Amino acid sequence: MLNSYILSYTTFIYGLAMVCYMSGLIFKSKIASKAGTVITIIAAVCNLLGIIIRWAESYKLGFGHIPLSNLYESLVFFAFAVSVVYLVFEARFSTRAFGAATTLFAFLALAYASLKPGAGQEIQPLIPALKSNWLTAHVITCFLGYSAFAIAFGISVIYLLTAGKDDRASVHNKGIIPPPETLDEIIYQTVVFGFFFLSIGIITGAVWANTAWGRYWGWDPKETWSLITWFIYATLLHARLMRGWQHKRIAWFAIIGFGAVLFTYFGVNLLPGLHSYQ
Amino acid sequence: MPDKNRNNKGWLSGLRDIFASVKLTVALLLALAAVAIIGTLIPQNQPHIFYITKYKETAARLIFLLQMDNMYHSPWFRALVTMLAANILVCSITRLKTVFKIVFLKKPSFSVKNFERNTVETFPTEKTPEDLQKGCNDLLLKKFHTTQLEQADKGFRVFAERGRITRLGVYLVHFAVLLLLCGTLISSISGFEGYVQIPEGQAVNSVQLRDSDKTMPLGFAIRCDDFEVSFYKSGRPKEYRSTLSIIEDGKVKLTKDIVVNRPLRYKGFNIFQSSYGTSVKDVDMVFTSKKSGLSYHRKMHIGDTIQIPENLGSFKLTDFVESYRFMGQHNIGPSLVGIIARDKEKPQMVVLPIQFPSFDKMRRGKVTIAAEHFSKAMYTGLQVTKDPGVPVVYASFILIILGIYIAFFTSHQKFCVMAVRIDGRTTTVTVSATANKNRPAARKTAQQLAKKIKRL
Repeated sequence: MLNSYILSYTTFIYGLAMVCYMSGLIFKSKIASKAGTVITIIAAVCNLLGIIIRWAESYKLGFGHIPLSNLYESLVFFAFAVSVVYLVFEARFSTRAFGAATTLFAFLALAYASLKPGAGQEIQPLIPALKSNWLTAHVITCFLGYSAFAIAFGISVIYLLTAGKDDRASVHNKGIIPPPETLDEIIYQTVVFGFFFLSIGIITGAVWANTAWGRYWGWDPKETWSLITWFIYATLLHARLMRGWQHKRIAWFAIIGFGAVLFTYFGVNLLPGLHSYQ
Repeated sequence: MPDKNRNNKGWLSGLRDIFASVKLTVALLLALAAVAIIGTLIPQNQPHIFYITKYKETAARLIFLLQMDNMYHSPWFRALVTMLAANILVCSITRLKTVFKIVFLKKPSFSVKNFERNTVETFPTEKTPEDLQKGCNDLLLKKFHTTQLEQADKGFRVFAERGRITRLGVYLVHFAVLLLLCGTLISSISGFEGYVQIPEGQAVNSVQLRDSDKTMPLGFAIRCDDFEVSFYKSGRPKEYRSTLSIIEDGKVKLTKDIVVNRPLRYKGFNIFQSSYGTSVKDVDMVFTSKKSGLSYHRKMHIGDTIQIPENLGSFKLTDFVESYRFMGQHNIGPSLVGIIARDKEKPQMVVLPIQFPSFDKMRRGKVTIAAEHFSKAMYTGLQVTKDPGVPVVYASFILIILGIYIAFFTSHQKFCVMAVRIDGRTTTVTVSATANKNRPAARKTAQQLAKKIKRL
């Protein structure tokens, strides 16, 4: 179907954006980085177009629903969300230093979606449990949260790779990578953004569970893991705001937190439960 | 004297200090995360035998000892949550004292010192401070409702602020989390979760409680008028739909179709579509007496008990099994299960496979029982819950979202516009801004202010 073609091509556009951002970092070229931004915008637009067309095509098949119902569709939405959230933070902090990491995420998400057998590339009608308006609110908020955490992870890795280096000769002075203080601030702000949306995601999930099964919390593995993720980021925020933790410690925390995000997203599918995308 | 105080209060203040520490918060949050991880790795709420066969003996013993088979309801998990609640409460109360003083101040206090390093814009103008004073004050008044005007050496200073109340955002989150815990407490004390299967056309007035053998009377009856399952062309299930009637005092109070995600609510009870299957509607039973050789035909439903003629005892039809494993091994297909009882004799379980009508002869009893003919019916599986904690939990949800928004995305911002005559012809205007967090947002507002002042 048309949406799959568009989304496969979008994968390569993200790949191209990543190459541009990478060259910007390696050759310290601002033009290459700017090209990265332009290409990321194009990729995000194509990504959105793919989602909209997929939505329209599901109606043509006679069982229309918003494309957020299986692993494939959630990965496609993740790629879109991560690039949009990234572009917002890029504009806010006027730095393109973490573009490569972010577009890599979008690229990997789309590539994995297309290549993994059984991810659900063909449009399927909704099973009874998913027929709810809460589906949209729950999935969108969760993935906005995951996206922000992914970006925080990317910056944390860059931070840990560059922070220890000798400052005078380092990339910081050339304005390619912002000073450690700014990176630290971006990590904090992306984590706050992610925490806000993860909270709404968990809450909408609880309300949905209560309308579908009559319980707002059931210690299902996915529920539990999202709560674990919430605990980890809540710890990070308390450590930073109340105990003054900064820099490397926060970066490591953001990396561990993203590990929990990944497990909530993928790992839980190995365990039986209501969220196993089957 | 602080020392004397400390001696007087002793362990109590020590305890308060422990619970007021953020170190404890961090430790508790990480401990809860770790415990929750274990709970997802060890399957929960399985029968004992499951753990004994799956794990080594010592591991299984440890699991039972620490109640890791029901982790989230174990006393020590609850102890961790209670400690977190105490931690949040003590922390918040301790800090609220200071924050209240700032937030509920009648007259805000501004100090020039706080603004010295936070200049956003400085520009010269030909206007005198006297010319600017009213304009600046009005501008700030319009935006911030109250201002504080101060005369300075060769000029003036106007202060304004907004968002003082946002300092309470974090306490709103903490309060909401405590409210959430209260809600879950109400749920676990006075809520219940039950399950019931109702064949089409039949009614029940009690449900089986989850994780226990008890049944719970509802005070009304639920009748399943109809159950339907539909499929997409691909074979995926499309919809499970039960038509239910609520019967109270012999009258049908309401009739409604329920599907997954659209439950029926009645008098605080929630009735959810949960599962479905087939069961037996009615069975033609044949009882053959060994002594007289006579056969008696009876129509029965599951759950019925009848007296067998010739004083051969009573028979209760208890169950229908889709594929019965005789002696735990041989699958003898769909079978009925019943209990035959005669005074003084031990009641006996009887298995009646539909495909083998003379199977019961093997039992060599005084009467041979066979199921001659039976009709199947769909049954609907309903989850029935009552949870008075839900309104409290939902209220806490709204407050948590609101609180996190206020705590992280709004701030207490202070602004200062200062105009000083430096010589006979020029005045220097300085616009400064501070905030308790998210300074860039405050600086942006200050820039806009500066723009407007230039136009005065």
